[in-house]
Amino acid sequence: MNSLIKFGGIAIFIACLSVWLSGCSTESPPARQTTTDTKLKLLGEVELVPTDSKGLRSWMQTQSSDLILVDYWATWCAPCTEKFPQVWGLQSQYSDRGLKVIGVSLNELNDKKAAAEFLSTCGVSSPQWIARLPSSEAFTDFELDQLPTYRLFDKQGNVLETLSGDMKLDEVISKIESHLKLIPLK
Amino acid sequence: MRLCHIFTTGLVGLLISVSSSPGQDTVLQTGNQAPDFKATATNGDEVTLNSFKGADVLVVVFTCNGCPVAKAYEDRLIQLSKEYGDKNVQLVAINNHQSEDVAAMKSRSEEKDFPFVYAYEGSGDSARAYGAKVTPHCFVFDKDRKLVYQGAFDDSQTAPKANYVADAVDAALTGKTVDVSIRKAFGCGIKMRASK
Repeated sequence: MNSLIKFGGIAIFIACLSVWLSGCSTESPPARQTTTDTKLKLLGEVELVPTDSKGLRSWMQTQSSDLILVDYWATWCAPCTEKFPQVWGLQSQYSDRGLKVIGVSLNELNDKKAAAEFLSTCGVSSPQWIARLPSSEAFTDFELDQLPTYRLFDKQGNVLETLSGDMKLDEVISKIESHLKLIPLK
Repeated sequence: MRLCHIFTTGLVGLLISVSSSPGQDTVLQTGNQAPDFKATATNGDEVTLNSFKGADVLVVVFTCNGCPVAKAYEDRLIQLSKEYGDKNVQLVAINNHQSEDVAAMKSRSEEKDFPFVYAYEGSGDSARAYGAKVTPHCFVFDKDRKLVYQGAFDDSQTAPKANYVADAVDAALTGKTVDVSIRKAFGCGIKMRASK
């Protein structure tokens, strides 16, 4: 009886831990990935790496993903933070079809803590990026008119599609699907 | 002779394109006339572009109550308005947000003691006419109401070093131009009603 209670207790604990690990995504919990650059940060702030358009392009060219979705967001942008978990959830939905999802925060470096704290509430993996330039220059460098902006890149770092403003997730998914169709299956 | 004309035209074209930021897609170009607007100020008065005809320089700022970036810039708008008040520079803040209203704007104006006109234009027509995309988005016009500068108020929300609007106002007051007359504005997208 005691071992049954113990087993039940452990099972309940594991179930609770799984729910907690799934973060704030409204999708089903993302599948655990095993590659070293996608370890989940369970405790503490998420690491934010300062970057610009050139740095981002160089990084993209080192990746094996066929399609990269960049979510440009900021803590001061309500539609951005509302949609971020759902957009992040697309990573698990489409990873086997060669999609990589990354976030670039347009919080200024002085406001990095707020961005990291927001990301800590979601089950995100690294890398997460933050603009290294102050806002106006950053918007110019990344060619942004407003946030959120969702931009699809190919593996060479060329822009395929840009969507900006408050929109339904379906619009983003539709663009992802149409671009994935153009990528030959391996 | 013809080759010389082509070369000169090309050079002038290049200089004009370099004076704005490359790749900028704006409704208004530098030197364009200020579009008219019709908005309701927090005291209930209707204001138009003509309401400010006496100003040597007019700064039109698209802003709103709710956006955190717009809120962060309120004190800077107040400061600019006060600093340049005696130089016959006027500032008008226009709100096109479809869910906001004059009553809430009046409360904010009184709470912060805005020294400038804060007016509501619910159709979104003025934001569209100016090409305002986010809040805050600033437009500086000279005495003839020709556009001198459009874009961000300054370079940084948290630690500004370059004061774009102040520099543009200084230039406009002395009949000069600014090196970069179009810059990206940053802030919340303007949620405006669809055009009819």
